[in-house]
Amino acid sequence: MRSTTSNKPQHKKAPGRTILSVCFWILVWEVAAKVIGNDIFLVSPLQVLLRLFRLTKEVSYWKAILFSLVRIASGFFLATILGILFAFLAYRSDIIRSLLSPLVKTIKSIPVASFIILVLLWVSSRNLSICISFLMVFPVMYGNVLEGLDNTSKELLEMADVFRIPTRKRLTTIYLSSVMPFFHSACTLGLGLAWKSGIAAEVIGIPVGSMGESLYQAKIFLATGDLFAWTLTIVLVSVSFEKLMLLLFDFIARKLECAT
Amino acid sequence: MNYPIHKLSKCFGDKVIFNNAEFLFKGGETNAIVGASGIGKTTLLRILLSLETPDTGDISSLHGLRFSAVFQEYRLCENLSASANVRLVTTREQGDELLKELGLKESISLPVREFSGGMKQRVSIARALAAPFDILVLDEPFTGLDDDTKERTIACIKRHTKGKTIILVTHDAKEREMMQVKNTISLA
Repeated sequence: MRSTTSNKPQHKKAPGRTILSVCFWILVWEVAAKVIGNDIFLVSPLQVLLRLFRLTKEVSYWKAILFSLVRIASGFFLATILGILFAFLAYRSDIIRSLLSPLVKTIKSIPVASFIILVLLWVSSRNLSICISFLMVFPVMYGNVLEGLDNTSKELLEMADVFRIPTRKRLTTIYLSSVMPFFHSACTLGLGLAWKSGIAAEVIGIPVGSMGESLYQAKIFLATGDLFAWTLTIVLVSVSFEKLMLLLFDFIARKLECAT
Repeated sequence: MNYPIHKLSKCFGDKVIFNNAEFLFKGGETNAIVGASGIGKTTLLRILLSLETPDTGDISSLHGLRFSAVFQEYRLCENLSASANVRLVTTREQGDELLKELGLKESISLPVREFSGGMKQRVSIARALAAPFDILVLDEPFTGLDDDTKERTIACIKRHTKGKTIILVTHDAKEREMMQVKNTISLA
């Protein structure tokens, strides 16, 4: 008989090892840049850091971050709110579930580039990243929250019926604890998608003063240092935003449970 | 006041659980339901708790009554503390007081997922006693409790259910004796 427990070795998180791995790849990058010897093809990590440092002194750099952050975050929040709302409606009504199913599947299967070009026909390039990040996050949020609701313990719901537990308490205890793990993974996935698709939309739509426009300009002028510096900025902003959002959502969930 | 149930029928597919069965639960007393496993004890409790609809039968004597219950499977929110689980049906003060009475003083604020089966059972009993009810349904409520804890738990249940109607399912004759069962319904 086979054991159901995994035989895979358990990898412990070792921060020291991670830092060493990062240092190794930076070293590989530095060596590769030295070997190639051409800043247009590959710029060295030191030059990227210097360029980034110079960029941080410019007001336009921070304005571009703010421009993109506000729009991509708006798309994400809108998708989160509507995803949760429609997941609840679909949980309660089979008609709404059936109506939404083909729509969500279609949105999931359409390539993001097609969406960007299509949406550009209807929306100004300034607000394009709101629509695109919304369209990428909504199906993930809706699907995950609905799965969480479907997985809610029937036994606990029966218990709530017997004890006549009010709806507010059911939401903040039984449903919340069932949905939270699914919501958490939707946030992690959705935030990554929102940033990737939002920046892609800005690179295609080129709204003035956005991070995507800066990336596009760097490509046009073959400013590889700028390209790397902006990419590093996008990664840092998106990772920080993701961590902040997950902390915020966990905090809200704990507060709701404590308030019960 | 007694609670009669007339001509109760319930089938699951081809399996007949009850066929025009008659039951009488005595108000203000402890009633016990006994019978072999799979005979329909839990189905009868589920019908009483309105979690199952009978195919036919008159259960009008139960309409409008408030039920409280200890289920076989605890039915606790695992990520919530013992206190928060009981607070779902009552105030913090009353809930914590009951948990202390049942010997869970040290564990009140711990999440129930960290509890043993016996501790979870006592949280479930505390919740059932804390809720306002006319009839208390106890489905194998002492499973997993050692003799001392069982005695303490039964004493606590008696203290909080004086004059109330209890419907108890248990295979254990000693438990029925300790709970001072006045009316036994045998399912055959």
